[in-house]
Amino acid sequence: MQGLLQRAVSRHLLRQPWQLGLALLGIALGIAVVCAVQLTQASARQALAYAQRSLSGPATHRLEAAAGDERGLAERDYAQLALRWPRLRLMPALSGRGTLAGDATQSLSILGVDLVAGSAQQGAARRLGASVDFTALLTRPGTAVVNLTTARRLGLAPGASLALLVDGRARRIEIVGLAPAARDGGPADDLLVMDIASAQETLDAAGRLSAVDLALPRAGRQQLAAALRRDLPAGWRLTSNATRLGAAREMTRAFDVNLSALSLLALLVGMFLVYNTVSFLALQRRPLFARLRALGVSARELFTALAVEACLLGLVGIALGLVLGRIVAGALLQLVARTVNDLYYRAAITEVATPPWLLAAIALLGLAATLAAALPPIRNVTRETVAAGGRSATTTAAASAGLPLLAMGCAWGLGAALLAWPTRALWPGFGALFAFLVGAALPLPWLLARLAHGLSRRRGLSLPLLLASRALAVHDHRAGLAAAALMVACATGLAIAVMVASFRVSVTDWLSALLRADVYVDLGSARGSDGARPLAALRERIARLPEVATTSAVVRTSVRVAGVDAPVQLLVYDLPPAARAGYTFIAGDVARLWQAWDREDVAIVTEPYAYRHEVRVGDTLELETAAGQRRLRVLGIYRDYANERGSIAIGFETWRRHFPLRDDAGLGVYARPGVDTAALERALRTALADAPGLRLQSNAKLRELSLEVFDHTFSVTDVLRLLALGVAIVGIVSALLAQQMERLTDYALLRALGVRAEEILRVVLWQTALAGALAATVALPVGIALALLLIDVINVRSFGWTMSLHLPWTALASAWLSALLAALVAGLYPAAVATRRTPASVLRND
Amino acid sequence: MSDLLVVEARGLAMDYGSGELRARVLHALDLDVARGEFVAILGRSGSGKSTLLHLLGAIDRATGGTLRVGGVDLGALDEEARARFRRRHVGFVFQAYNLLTTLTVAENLRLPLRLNERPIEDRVDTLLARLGLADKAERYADRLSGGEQQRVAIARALIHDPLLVLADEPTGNLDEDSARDVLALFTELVRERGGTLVMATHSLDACAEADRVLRLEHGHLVATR
Repeated sequence: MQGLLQRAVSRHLLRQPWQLGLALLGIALGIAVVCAVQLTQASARQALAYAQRSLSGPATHRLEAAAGDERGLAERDYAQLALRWPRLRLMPALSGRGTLAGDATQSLSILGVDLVAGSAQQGAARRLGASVDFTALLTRPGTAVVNLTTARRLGLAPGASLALLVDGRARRIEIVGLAPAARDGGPADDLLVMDIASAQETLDAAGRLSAVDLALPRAGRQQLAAALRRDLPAGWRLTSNATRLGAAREMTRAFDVNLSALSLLALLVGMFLVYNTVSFLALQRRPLFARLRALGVSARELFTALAVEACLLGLVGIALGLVLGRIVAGALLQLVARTVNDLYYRAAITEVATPPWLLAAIALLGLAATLAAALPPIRNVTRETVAAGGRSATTTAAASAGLPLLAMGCAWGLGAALLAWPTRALWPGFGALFAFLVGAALPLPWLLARLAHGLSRRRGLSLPLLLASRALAVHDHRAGLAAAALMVACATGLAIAVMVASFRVSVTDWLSALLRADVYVDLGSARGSDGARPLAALRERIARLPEVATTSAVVRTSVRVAGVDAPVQLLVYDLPPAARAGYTFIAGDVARLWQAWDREDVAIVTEPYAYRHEVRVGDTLELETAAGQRRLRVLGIYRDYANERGSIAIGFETWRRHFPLRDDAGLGVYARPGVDTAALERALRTALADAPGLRLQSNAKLRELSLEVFDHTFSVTDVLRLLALGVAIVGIVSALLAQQMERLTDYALLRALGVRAEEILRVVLWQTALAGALAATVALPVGIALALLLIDVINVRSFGWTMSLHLPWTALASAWLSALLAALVAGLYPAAVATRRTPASVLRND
Repeated sequence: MSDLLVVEARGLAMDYGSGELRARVLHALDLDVARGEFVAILGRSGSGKSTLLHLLGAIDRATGGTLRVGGVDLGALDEEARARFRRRHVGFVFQAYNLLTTLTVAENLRLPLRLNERPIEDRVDTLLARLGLADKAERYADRLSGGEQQRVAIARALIHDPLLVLADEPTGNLDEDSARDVLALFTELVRERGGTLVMATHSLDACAEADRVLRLEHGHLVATR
């Protein structure tokens, strides 16, 4: 019985191929966006896991230098430790980076592992595969192995020679074998695996190690780790791999959550579409349902048949969406990889990961969304009495305001409650955002009907406008739902555009204030013969140049802070008075702060650091140094958009008092009055010609590069925004098509009465224009309100950044116009359908 | 062409489909309808009555023969000109009323006048009063009973004084009493205006009112009275 009933109910769908196709496309696009975002995030996580995987074997812990000492570990300390702990399986490694000679953008990681130690060799041999020439790898300097993915990408084969630049010095690497791809257990992509001695030579790091991986047995692991910690050489740390991986994932959490929320929005718009389609298909089949009910089919049986139909629709749409999502993920991958590498961690994200559990979870989410959207109209139609279902649907004048406004009030009330919830968690913020957005969308069908009703009562309207406004006023709410979907997509797009523009203005202002030197010198890889960086000597040489007025210096390192799990960036500043004016303080006595700077143990912290760790002016930070814990008083909190995890800044002299080691350094060089930047840059290049690896950048160039990174970061949101708009356009096409199909008889009749095809076209386009104009107009205030939520709630909770609202009028105008244009474009096909059918063909079938 | 003839059809033919599926619905019809004449057309369902009315009303295009209505060769008109012809010279009444449900009763009546850019208010009010629907002018059309809807449809077909009124079983959806009332009102209004009416019908009452009754059999017109 159910099978026959199913056929009776569902065969109708096949007679509506366009409607069916658009519904499937709506579900598919919504799922595709979610799938693409989730797969790219999974790919980034997988690449991170590959990058952190020990090549020598399964490791549970890592020994590394204490934060702040970038020289790494001394090999002799390692040797002594290995002697003292003979039963531990220690796997030393040295890592570094190089770029392809002739293509500075192509960066490769270098990893040296111990291929001599028996157990380590076995592990590495297993990971590198049988085809590798281990003898050559062990005995010939400058030999390396890459995985198959990297070899294919760079066109390498065993025996090939690779020209690299490592710290500004030319190196030639010979490829002596190809390892399996990362997904098959091989090394990470874009990684050159070498013997550790060879890597030390290539990286000019004789006697140094980056880390020592070790596998502690499960039994008694905690006690063993504690004993090992007590026995470590000075400046060594033991960290568990789980903690390190977790910390790296934590870094991208806010980025991931923001992208996920944006992708869910596309799904929300897709749900509007499903609701609309199912409503339409149900409405069209009311007489059929009435006949079935009259024959004795129960409401429950009918409900089941329609629910099964919705599930089938959902499953086909989901399957299409997963395929499409996989394709879109390939395109998004490069954008996400660039952002992750610019801002978070280095990992070669080159292939799309497709974990089956994730695909299954997305499919379930899609099915749940489809059913959530489809069941309300199914329930409505199956609850009708047999008599009511048999009658054709009559027109309804604009409905009363009560229900839509009540729904809006409830949604906004929920949003307000979520905002008032005293938490820093991100999801309540997004919940409030969604509640506000949905609340604003709910009364839109009612509002459209009311406004159209008012318009249709005006005298002097042209016939097409009168017919269009009346159709919107009295027909069912399909056009209103389409307008709501368009408004949601447009308001979100606008909110993101406003947020990004506000962010960009804030970053530009911040960079303008902060970057006060004329030329910046990044010491990068410039090293002295002992491995220490010759900051002081170089700075003195620069200061003596006649073109130079003064210099500033910054050391970027990391430090452990009591109560904070991961290392914290420590910025050490030696600033002339001109540079000090570039800092914008949110809290603290600025005069007092600069007085104490360098003389006392004081620090300033960035706004994100203060937010994340709830630090206030006057608090004390306990910094871990080689000589033990040191307490620094916080005297100021300053604005900084460079690092979302937050940084601590101290004076140069404070640093020298507590930290004996140096790290990367940058210098700011200020030109004497009358010397232009180009002349200063030329003088510096001449004077520093003998220091390889130096990078000189003018103030303007550095600002440009910084904004370029900023723009990359948001390019992925632009893509998602456009996809959401695409789903909304499909939605509005579908809704209008449904409406026009229902009105074909009306149009045929109008044609029979002498209304021209061109006038029918205008009737349809007026409908879409009115719906689009309302969606666009409502999207403006809603978009601005959402932008405020993004700026004041989501951004603060995600990154700890505050910024002021900046309304770019071009974005507002383009959002309005693009919504209107989207609506008009969406109306073209339904308009063509409405005018293409001859009146005779419609009236004949009527 | 005589000025007295509103419809002059010669060898009028209509086929649907193509190839093996081609079906001839009308076979070389000849038909003249004089100004002010009421012609009733009888025939079984599917005999081609509606098709003939669609051809006479310039809704559809004949596949053979010539057709002049009001002296205008309909075969020579393009779609745009046919639309202009319909709005000016033809009034339609359908079995299923076919009112525009998004418009009120009054607006349905205003529509032909607006299309012809003719003054509106007096004519609409007068006609609504005559139909006994003055108090329902602002109701949406689908909120009326079947008889009321058909009265509105008749008014809409006549309000712009068309040269030719075409009615396709206008009482087919109504009960006997309503059908009689509607038919009486319809013929009365047409005659008052000196209009020409061609009506496809099964109603004997309608045939009794008609000046001439024709039967459509297998695509051929046969005079019965």
